[in-house]
Amino acid sequence: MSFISLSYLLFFPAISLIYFLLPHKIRWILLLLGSYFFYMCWNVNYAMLMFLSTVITFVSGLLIQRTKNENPIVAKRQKRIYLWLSLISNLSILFFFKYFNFVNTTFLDLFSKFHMEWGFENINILLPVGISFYTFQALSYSLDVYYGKTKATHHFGKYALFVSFFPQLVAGPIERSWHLLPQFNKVVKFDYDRVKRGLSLILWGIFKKVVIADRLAVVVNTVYGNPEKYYGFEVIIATIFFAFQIYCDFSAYTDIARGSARVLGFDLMKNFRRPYFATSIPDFWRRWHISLTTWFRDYVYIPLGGNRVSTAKWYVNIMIVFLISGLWHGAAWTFIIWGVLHGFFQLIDIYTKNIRGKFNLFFGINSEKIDVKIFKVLWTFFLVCFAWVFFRAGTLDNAVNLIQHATYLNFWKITDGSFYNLGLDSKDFNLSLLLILMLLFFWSFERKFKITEKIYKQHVITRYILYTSVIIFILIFGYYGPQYDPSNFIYFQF
Amino acid sequence: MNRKRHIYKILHIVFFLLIFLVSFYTIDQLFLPKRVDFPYNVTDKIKGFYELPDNSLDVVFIGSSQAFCTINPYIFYKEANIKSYVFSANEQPLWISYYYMKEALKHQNPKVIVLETLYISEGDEFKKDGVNKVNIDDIPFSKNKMEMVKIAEEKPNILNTVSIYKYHDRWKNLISTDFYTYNYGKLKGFTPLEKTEEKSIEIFSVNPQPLPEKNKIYLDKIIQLSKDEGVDLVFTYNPYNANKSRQSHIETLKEIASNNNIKFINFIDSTTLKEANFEVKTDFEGGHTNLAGANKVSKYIANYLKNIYKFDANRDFTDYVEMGKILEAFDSLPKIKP
Repeated sequence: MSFISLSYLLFFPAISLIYFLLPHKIRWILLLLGSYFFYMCWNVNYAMLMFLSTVITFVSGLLIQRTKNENPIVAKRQKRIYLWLSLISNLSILFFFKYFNFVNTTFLDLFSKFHMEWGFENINILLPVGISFYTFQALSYSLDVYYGKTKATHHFGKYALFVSFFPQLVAGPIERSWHLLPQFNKVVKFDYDRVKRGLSLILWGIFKKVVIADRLAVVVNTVYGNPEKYYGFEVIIATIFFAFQIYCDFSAYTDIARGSARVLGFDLMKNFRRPYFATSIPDFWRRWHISLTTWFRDYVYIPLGGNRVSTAKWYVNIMIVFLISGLWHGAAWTFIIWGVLHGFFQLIDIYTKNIRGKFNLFFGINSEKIDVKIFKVLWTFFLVCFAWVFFRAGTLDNAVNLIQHATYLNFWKITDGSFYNLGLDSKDFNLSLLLILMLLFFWSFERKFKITEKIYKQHVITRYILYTSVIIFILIFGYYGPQYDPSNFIYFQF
Repeated sequence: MNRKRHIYKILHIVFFLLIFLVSFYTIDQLFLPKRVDFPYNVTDKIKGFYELPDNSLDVVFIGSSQAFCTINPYIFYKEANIKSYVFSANEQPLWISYYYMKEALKHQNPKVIVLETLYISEGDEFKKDGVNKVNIDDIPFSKNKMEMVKIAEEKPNILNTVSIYKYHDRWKNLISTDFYTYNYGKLKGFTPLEKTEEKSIEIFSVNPQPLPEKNKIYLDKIIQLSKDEGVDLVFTYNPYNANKSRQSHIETLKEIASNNNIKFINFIDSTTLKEANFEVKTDFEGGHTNLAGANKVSKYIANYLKNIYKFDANRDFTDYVEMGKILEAFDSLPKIKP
């Protein structure tokens, strides 16, 4: 069941209504059943995988906590065994469904180069929706119990709900047990103000997905679907559009997830913070997919030693994190290169920090000045877009082709109407540009002026007219309907 | 105090829903394509029907273009003081006609419903998307409309009952006629055609053949509906160059009509054509009757009905008189030779 569907439009109000009518003690049962129903709308059998993951991590949590030995070294070793059992079994499932074919194909290609037979065929299997998200969420529980950040829960039902909670089940945000699990014990009363804020967030998410992301997707699909046909500014505009498409698509999912959870009285973590206003690549990763970045920081980077190691090891740690991040996004070399590129960008940023400082001092450049900031934002955006090419291209050949083609700077294409032949007509294309500008404008003023808070403070008539206008705007300018195949959220595949 | 606050909140929500529904309806109507350009003016015909005063009609004609090109309600008024309306749309299959009949009976209490039956031979399980749109779009949102979508579309989508869902991308092409209220139904659903094309109607000696299954089901439903609602049903097969297969279905229709005590006026019959003074050489335009042909057929059916039913002459027929003036002006235009 997708958030942007008639099914969810019926499912969510129905479950919310029943939720508030039920006594607190049994609400978790409704949410658990609802969450499994939500997941099973995609694939009934794969719900078993999620259940298996739940059982493994739940039991491992209990075992880790119950392990007591007079000898702390023995106890730690036993705990570590339980943790590793949980990690290996969960990651094996993830590997089998997500990475087996990729690894197998790599070996097939490698062996065929030496005219040898590898001996294993690829398996014909469908990737379970959101497997990377719920596996990482479940693993975070085992790790948190192991590191003592949270106590193992004895309530299997509520734990199963933590893994399967429908608003964030298939595309995050990846929650931590210490943040979400206790919320299932909290008595939630119907709060008009909270529901209002939740619904507004859902509306904003739908707007970003249906009006912006799906419209931009048309140009992106046209150019990236035929990389040999497009050059220069056509590739550049499609890549810029992709940058905003993936942001709007993914942040829309997060907003709808957070909004839905908020209506029900739960708080999910923020996943984005105006990412394309980042002034450096490290800054970008503090703003983009925050729940995953912090997951890697807490459970990979810091356990590896973080930056409290030798410089060489520190650099290796950074590269490991970004390599895994690339792999997490997809079983393809393009994703690995995307991750590695970001790793390199991070290293270059760290490596050149002193040199840049001296350079600024020499030329008297104040990095806090607006012009310098704008330059930094544009440069970071360029680097991010460069990496996005690999993320979106599908194959390495396509990515290289597109980057080569992008260097033919055919300035006349900006004015000769070529952009209107990329799948959107002139009106739709110009609207796309306007929407991107509107988003940037919103980002610019959001922090200082708290636009959403200002809206909530308005008179009820003003607010209702505004809400109605937004809904009508979505209905008119949304990219949906019979002429259009509704695209799923991009991040479902990860 | 707390209770009072709750009531205020509920009233706020009701107020919001009210604002939303009014805006939604306005926008939904705005984006609905206005098919008002002659002769493809189906919006004009359908909306015109719904703008009629309730229970103001004696006869409702239902069917395809063979109904709206051939039935001239002005002639029915002139010949027999009949208040009638052609509630039909292009290429209308019988399963849509059934729902048109249900819609008609929701608003009108006619003495007779005349069903035009060219599409009894239609073998396709589903019509093209364009035909479904033309037949369903202008029907107001209702249970009947939802059922129409369900039965007419191969992959039914309930959202297709909402104009904005199907036509929201018209924001790029909205034109002035989308914004102002049109005076619908001036010709009572009739489409006069002006050209003349020589045609022929060959009468074959054929045996009855079973109707396509979906048509049989909906023809039975139509008959049952007329019985349930206590309204008389008349079948017509208007002048058309029907092939052997179609004529074998006409034979089946005759049997069905006879078994159910339904009158059947069949123009694929030399005697009927002669009695109506219908000239196949001059009274056609393409596959339909032209104005002259329509007037002859209408006169024949009007007199047929006049002999069975009583129609009160002492009523207000102003709109039919107005319609006559429009047709007169139309008929006086220089004729375009085919």
